[in-house]
Parts: sequence; structure tokens; C-alpha cells
Amino acid sequence: MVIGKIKLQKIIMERKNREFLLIGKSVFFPSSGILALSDLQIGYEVMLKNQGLYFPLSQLRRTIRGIEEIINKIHAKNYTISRIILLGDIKHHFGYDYEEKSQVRELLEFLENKVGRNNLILIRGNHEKFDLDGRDYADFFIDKATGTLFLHGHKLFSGINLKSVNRIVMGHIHPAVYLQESGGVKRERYKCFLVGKWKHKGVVILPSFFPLIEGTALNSNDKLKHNDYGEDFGIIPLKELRKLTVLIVGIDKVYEFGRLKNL
Amino acid sequence: MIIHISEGLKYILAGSILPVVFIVFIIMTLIKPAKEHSKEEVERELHPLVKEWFFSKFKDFSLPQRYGVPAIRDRKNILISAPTGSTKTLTAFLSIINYLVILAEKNELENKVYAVYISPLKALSNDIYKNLVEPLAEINNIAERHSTKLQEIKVSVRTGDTSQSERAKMSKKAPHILITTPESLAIVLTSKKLVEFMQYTEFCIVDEIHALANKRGVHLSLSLERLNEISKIWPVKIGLSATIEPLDEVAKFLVGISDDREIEVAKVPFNKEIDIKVLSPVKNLIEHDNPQRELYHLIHQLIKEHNTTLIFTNTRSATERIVNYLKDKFPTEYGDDNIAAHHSSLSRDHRFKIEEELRNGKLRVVVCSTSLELGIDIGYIDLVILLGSPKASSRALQRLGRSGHKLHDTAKGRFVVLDRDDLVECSVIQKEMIEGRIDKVTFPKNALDVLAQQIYGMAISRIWKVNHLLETIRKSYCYSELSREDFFSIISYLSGDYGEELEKNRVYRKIWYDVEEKTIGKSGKLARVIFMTNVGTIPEESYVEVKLAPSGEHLGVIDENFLSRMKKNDVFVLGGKKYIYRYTKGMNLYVNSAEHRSPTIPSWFSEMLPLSFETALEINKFREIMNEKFKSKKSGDESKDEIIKFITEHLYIEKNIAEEIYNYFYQQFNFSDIPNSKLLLIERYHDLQQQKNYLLFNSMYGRRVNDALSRALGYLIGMAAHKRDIEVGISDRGFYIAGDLLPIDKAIKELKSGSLRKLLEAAIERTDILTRRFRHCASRSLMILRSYKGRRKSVGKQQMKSHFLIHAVKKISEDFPILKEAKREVLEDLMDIENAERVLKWLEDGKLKIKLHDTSLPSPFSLNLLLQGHTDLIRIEDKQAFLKRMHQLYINEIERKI
Repeated sequence: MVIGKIKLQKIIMERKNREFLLIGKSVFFPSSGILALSDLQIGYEVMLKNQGLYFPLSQLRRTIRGIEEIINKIHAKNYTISRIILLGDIKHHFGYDYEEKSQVRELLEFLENKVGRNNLILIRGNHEKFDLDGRDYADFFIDKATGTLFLHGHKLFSGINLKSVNRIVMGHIHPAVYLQESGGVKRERYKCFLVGKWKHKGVVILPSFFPLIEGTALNSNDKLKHNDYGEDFGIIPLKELRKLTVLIVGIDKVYEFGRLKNL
Repeated sequence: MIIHISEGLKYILAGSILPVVFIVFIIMTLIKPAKEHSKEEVERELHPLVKEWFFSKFKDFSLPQRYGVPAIRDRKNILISAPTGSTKTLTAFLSIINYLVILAEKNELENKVYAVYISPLKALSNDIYKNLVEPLAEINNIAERHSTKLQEIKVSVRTGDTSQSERAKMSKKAPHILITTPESLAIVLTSKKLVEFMQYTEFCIVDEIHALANKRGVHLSLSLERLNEISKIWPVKIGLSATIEPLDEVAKFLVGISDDREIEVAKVPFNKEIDIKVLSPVKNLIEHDNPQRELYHLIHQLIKEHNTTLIFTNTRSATERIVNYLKDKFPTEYGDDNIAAHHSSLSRDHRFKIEEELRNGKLRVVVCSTSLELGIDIGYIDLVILLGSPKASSRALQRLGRSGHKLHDTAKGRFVVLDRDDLVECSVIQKEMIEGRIDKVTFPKNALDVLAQQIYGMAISRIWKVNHLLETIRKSYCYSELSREDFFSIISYLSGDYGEELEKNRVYRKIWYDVEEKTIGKSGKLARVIFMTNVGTIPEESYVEVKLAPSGEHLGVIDENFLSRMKKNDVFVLGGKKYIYRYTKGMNLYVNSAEHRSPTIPSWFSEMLPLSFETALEINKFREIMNEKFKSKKSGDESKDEIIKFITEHLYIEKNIAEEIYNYFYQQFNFSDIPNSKLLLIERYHDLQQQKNYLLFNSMYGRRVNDALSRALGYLIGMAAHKRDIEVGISDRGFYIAGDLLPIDKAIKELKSGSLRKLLEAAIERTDILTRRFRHCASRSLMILRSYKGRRKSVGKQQMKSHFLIHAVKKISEDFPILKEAKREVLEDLMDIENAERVLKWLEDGKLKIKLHDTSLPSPFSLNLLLQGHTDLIRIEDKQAFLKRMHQLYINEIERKI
């Protein structure tokens, strides 16, 4: 676990400058008032039920409660939220499921109540094969004032002019890591953020907001060709991902653990 | 409530000489010894046709028949315990066939089920069917010769394999004798049509009861009460079992608990001659350069001397290994035509084929794990080889009983031992067999998962008053002490009432509960289908093959879920050996040997046969005697030869074996102490190579007790050592605890029999074994459906789901009934908390003393503890605390670097 001194200080500085805050499993940009969440995978529970898990897991309720906690924390710091961006894979099913649809609608209505329908930005992920209730889904969103690109992360779109982008904020890969003490037996998996540089641009990769699974353990020695969902990794190749810094989501705060490749 | 009274008293009571002083005892189900009847008495009421048939086949009635036939004729409940192959089945059926023939002659057979036969072995069902259909055909032939007209007596099999069309046929025309399994019986009792045919069942046979001291048995005990409850007349219970103890408890299991119930118990002695011996492949097990090679030579020698040999190993992988090795080393002697492996992972068809070939005398050798212990007729076996300890005298007897397989024949068995501990174990088990001491079985009590499944089934049949439902359930031996609280927690779970948070979730409820009317009934259109396709108690597992890289030599199997927790270069234990994870390919895991590394990952997949507590105590007693002998040798009172002579007589073994035991024990005696029934020896040892501290506990109580003791102690030590995780390794003969700090003295002081249960509940909280058992319980209680909407779900998916489930359940309540049941199962069925408490009481009463040795080397007895212990981790540190500590380590690292 080694990390370049400069790199570390830079990240610390960037965070000290409050360019962005990592709150729970979300990222908040104080200057623009944008709150971003990724991979809510609403409907996962519905899928489990159809597979015979005959017991409620309260995924929707837990998701809403989690978002409420984040909003309260942001308000407690005296910031206002101008926009909420959902970075794709809001729903789980690739296809259509009635129960899932009603749950997604309930979630979106909850968010719209918080920021207004126009300030809820829905990014289309690879699970969003069609739009819901005529709501607008976008492939990406650029906050021009800060040059921040928000997208799901499974692919780049031709409309994006990367030159004008300073920072990329994405989800899709459900990053997580194992922690294990050297020589120890205990091993635990945690959701994490990946933060750093790619193609000279700042990168923030969000963990999945989804409460039921930790995500893809990126530091396991198994050959990682796909993530837990059997999908290919997104726009950033694994080799480049391994250069990013790991920030593990704890209950109270995020804990920094250096570069992924050293973990 | 049942108060146990001593044997003598009970028989006085049974004989109705009831002294006033005994009135204080509340006895509900009455148990009496069965009577042996004369030949005349047995044949007295036999129909001439049946009598003619019987004596055309047999010379005389067997002993079980003398006990059983008249009792069943007189409609008495009876439990018959007799050795394998002693005509038990015909004992049960003779009176029933007789009764049906009498009715058939008078043309009085009705369209209903007269007798139901239940066996836990599906394979046995077809056997029994044949064994019933043939005699009935023969009786028919005799009838035709006498120009007597008989109505057809219909026999049908109903198991999971029965086709849809046959089931449909059955629901129109009832079989007079229904052959079924515990699971299918529950389905029959839940189906609309068949229930009507079952209401007049007059006889109910439960075969192979000794295989039912588990949740399948619990499930069946509730089905039997369901049968009793719907019956217009009492279905006479006939229980058949191999040698088993305690018979009174088994009898109560069969007949249930109620004032108006009584049952006779027939304990038919083992009247085969026993020819049994302990053999060691080499003279000195510890110094010989290749005991493995000699082992196979010995096995080969034994096979050559006999016509047919059945070899029992304890594991599937050993089964394969032995077959392959014999074929390899003796290619001219063994081939596919004369040797075969038989174990539960083989396909059903393949197993049937092997059984058939064994019966026909085509095969010379069959090597099996435990799969041929039970029931099915496998023909004439000359020799049974018990390779490695069978771990309990009852199991040893059961295996030995496969040899001969005709009453009055000699049962010939040979223990072939693998190491010195095995040698002692086998010798002591042999002693127990010869002296007729049998380990005791227990049935799980108040299992809430099985209860949930059966209540669901009952609610599907009809609407119930809850109080009547509870009364019916409490008549089952396994639920006679079920609390109202537990009962209603299951009603709450089934009716979808999980507290405020989940009230909305009507979707998930299985029954409705009307609080006003105090009634329950089924909920949802799919209820019956869900019940029928998910009935049962046997958990499903999926396995991955472990192979040596790159050769692909088969080493064993591990649970699929266990694999998912491993990463490359992890070291794990399999079959007592250490391997390192190299790569996976399909459903195969390729490994290399890693003997000199310590495991990096705990293993819980090795749910091996545990040594019975009774045998363990017997070994402790023997150790105590040996300790005394060596002391008197030291003082010159007894010579080496005298002690060896004593061992040969005491354990009924040959001199060379006794010498080996002598040497082993003498080494231990000279090293420090021989741990025994009065002394628990702990060795504190620091492993320099691994930089690890060990505490080695020589506690010969079997792994079920050691599991409980080690986890409770490990938990206390971990708590005292600043809440750090502790590694434990558990075996039949003791356990070890490893960690950085090991404050043992304080932990031992705090370990008390009274607080053991609480401690263990905390200690298992984060273990894999609890998660795994929870999955089984969730599946039995239908929280996770194996089969839903016409599709079967893979075990892997079930495992993943159970992971979500246990978190969701814990959020609702730590006392959620199915979680509570998983804990009970771990503590009572997997571990043996009851006997662990007994051991702690001995410590508290001073009957057992603890001695702590600091040692630079483990003693001879302890060495195997280290090598064979199956490790697990007691997780005390929670996930967040671990995260913080790891982060601190990382920060320290950075500060060092910067």
C-alpha cells in the first residue's frame, strides 16, 4: 500500500477545497449544488421475488431513507441542492416489469418533490432500455460552469466534446474492494469510490447506491473481465482504473486507501 | 410434560402394579415392553391362504415376527428394533396382508387406503413394492388353486418420482397399501382427493426410524399428527428400526405424546455371530515409510480372501480414491466389471445399477461412503471393511449388519485403521459393539422452520382454529413442549406480519390469520403448488471439484459458495490436507499442495461425521485407565507386558495392535500427561515459523461438543484480547485457538455452563455456518423457494438470496423465528450444547481438572489437533471496526513512507 506523496496531497487538497464532497454513497458539488447518485437498481428485489425469494427486503424504502439522510446531511452543512442527477441504472430489469415500474415511479416522485421535476436529471444507463412515463432521459449531462461531465459510464457518446470537460463523474462499474490484513484470515468487501485522473481529467466513479450488494471487488485476483452483472467494464479500462485512488464508504465517513493497484 | 423415570419403575407401572408413591409422576404416553409369542399364537389367526403362502416360503417365524405379528393383529402400536436383514418388513406387513386377504375374500375391500408405509429411502420404496406385489401375486395363485376368489389388493408407490398420470390414477382409485416417503406423505395430506382416502387408514408403518433423528423425522412426526387428526379411526403405528437407543424416546417419537396413547417396544437382540477385528496395515504407523501402500495391500489381501467385500469409507472422495488406486495398482485384478464406487453424488441410475450388480453377485468389491448403510437389499456380502473409524457404535453395527444379511449368519467385519488416533477409536468402538453399548440419538425439538412449512400445508388443507392447530402440533413428540410464543411467532411470519415496517407487504404472506375468530387459512392462489414443489427438509448444496494442478487428480469437493469466497493463492484445508488455490476451470478448482503454509481462509465445508459423545467418553475412560497403568509401571508395580496383556483383553484386540496403542500412550505419558476423563490438558505453544500463538486443548468429547466449547472460549478470549477475531480449529479429539493475544485464564473463569448458550449465540453471530444454516432454514420455512412458477432455482442463486435475507431479517428482529431456528440448529443439532454444558459442569464440580502446559513442541496427542483441525474464524470485530483499523494501518504505512 504505497501512494505517491504528491498524488495523495493533491487529492486531499482537492477535497479540502471542497470541489466535491463524498457523502454516503453519493457525491455533492457545493459550487454547482449538484448531487449525484448512481446505480440504484430499483427492481432488484422484484427480480429476487420472481426467483423465489419470498420475503420482503424493503429495497425501495431503504433507498429512499438513504437519500433522505444524505439530503439532511447536506442541508446541515448549509448547502442547497439545486439538482439531483441519477447516473443511470435506476432500474434493474432490462425489460419491463409492472411492479418495478411502480417502484421506480415512487422513487422519482420522491426526488421530484425535493428539487422539482426539471432539476431531476435522469441519465440513461444500460438497464434503461425505454423511458418511463414520458420522463426525459439523457445520455449524459454537462455542467458547463464547472466543465463536469455526468454519465453512466458504459460508453461515451458522440455528442460529448471531451476537450471542454475537466472532470468525469460516472457509475456503472459498482466499484468495491476487499480488505484483508496481511497474513490474516479475515476478509471483508466494501463499496468504494474511485477518484483520480484519466486522460488528464478528474474522475469520480461512484459506488452503486443499491443497498443489497457491495459490488465488484476490483482488487480480487480473479480475472476481472466483467463486473458482477456480467457486463464489460465501462469507458475506463481496468489498467487505468487501477491507478485511481480508493475511498471506502464507511458508516460515518469515507476512508482513503491509496491507489487501487496497491491495495 | 414428560417426566423420565427409571427403567424398572416404568415396567412396574406398565404391569399396573402401581404403588401410591409413584402417582406424582405424570406419564402421558405409556411405554411397555413387547411380548414374544409362540409359533401357535402367531399363526392362530392367519388366513389359510396366507398361512400356506408363508410356510411355502419360510420354515418358521423369525424373532421379530414373534414379537410383532400378533401385536399388530391386535392393533397395538409397536416399535420393533432389530438388526438389519432380520425380516422386519414382513413382520410389519404379515398381519396387514392377512387382514386385507380376509376382506378380499369376503369382497369387502373398499376404495380407500388401509395401510401406509413410509420409508426415508426413496430407493427402498421400489424394493418394498416388489416385496409386496410378489407375495400378493403368490397368494392369489394359491387362491386360484383353491378356487377361492379374491378381490385385487392394490399397492401403489407415491414418491417424488411418481409420474403425473399415476398420481391422477391414485386420486380416483385408492391403493389399499400406499408406499411413500415422508415428503410425499405431506403432499398426500395436503392434496384434496387423497386426503379423503386416507381418513380410514388403519395401519401406518414407519421404516428405518434410525435414519430419522433429524429434521426429516421432525417433518414426519408432524405429518403423522396430521394423519391422526384427519383419521376417523386410530392408525396403528408400526415402527421398524435398526439397533438404536434410547428406544423409549424413539417409541414416543413414533406414537406421539398424549394421555390416551400407548406403545409396545420390542428390542430384538443381535443374534448373528459377530466376527470383528481391528487391523493395522503396518506394524508401526508412525515410523513406517509408506503406510498408504501397505494399506492398499492389506485391503487387496482381504478382498482376495472373500467372495464379495463391501468397503465403507466416510467420505465421497475417499471412495473414489480407493477404487482408482486399486484399479491402478492391481490392473489384472480390478476392472469396471468387478469393482465399483457407490456414493450419493453418483446418479440414481448409476447407483441402482451398482446395487443390482451387487445383488446378482457380479461385483466383487463395492466401495461406498455412507450410502449403503441403509435398507436396500444388497445380497450376500462376505466381508465388510470399515476403513477408518465409523465414529459411533450404532453406525459400526449398521455397517457390519450389511454382511451376511440373513438371520443367523455370521456378520464379518474388519476395521482397517489409518493412524494411531484412528486405531484407538476403532478399538474402543469395537469394545462397545462387543459389549452391546450403543450411542444415543436425539430428535431435534421445536424446529420452527419445519413447523412453518407444515402449518402452511395444514392451512392449505382447510381452515383451522389456532388453538386446535396448536393442540395437534403439540401431540408430536418433537413439539410437545412448543411454547405459545414460538407458535404465534410462526403464525405471524406466515401471515406476513413483520412489524410496522413491512405491514404493506401483503404480497409475501402465505396464510391469513383472523385475530377475532382465531382462525387461519391459506393465502394466495399458488399456495398448493408452492407447498407441493417446495416440500421437504433436505438442503440442497452444489459442489465444485477440487483437482490437483496440472494433472487433474481428483482430491475432493468443496461447496460452491465456499469457492466464491476464495481468491487465488488462498490456502485452505480439505480432507485434513492443505492446498493452495491456483485457478478455476468450469466447475473445477485446481490446486497445489501447500503443506507448510497456514490456511488463509476458514473452512466450514467439512461437515464430517462427528465422533459420538458416548464413544469419546469411553476413550477418555480408557485413557484414564492407561494413565493409572503407567503410573503403576513407574512405581514398578506393573510391567510393560502386563499392560499390553491388559489392553488386549480390555479392548478385545490382538497383541500387535495393543503394542501400538501402548507405545502411543507411553510417548504421551512421558511427554507430559495423558489427558483423560479427569484431566483436560491445554498446551500453550508458539509457532515460530508462522509467528502465531496457539492454545491446544486435549478435550476428547467429539467435535460436536468441541465445536461448542472452542467457539465459546474463543469468543471470550477474543473479547478479552481487545475484540479481535480468533481462529479456531476443531476436531473430535480436541481443538485449538490461535491469535495474537490469548488471555486464557480469564476466559476459562468466565466460561460457565449456565451462560454457555448466551455466549455461543454471540459467538456464532457472524459465522459462515450460521449464514449457511440460515439458508437451509429459510428454504424449509419457504422464505426462499427452491421451485417457483414452474422453474427450479439453482443453489447458487439461493445462496446469494440468503445473504440478502439474513440482513433483512436481522433488521426486523434478532428474534425473528427462522433466525432463531438457525441458531438453535447450529447449537443443538450441529453442535452439542447439552453435552458441552455437562462437561462444563464437571469442571465446576471439580470432577474434571484443567492443566496448562507451556511447551515448545506439541505433545504426541496434540500434533494431530494442529494438522487435522478444521479452522474457522470467530468474528468479533465488526465490519466497520475492521475498516477503521485497516485504515489506521494504512495511514501508519503512509506516514512511515512520506
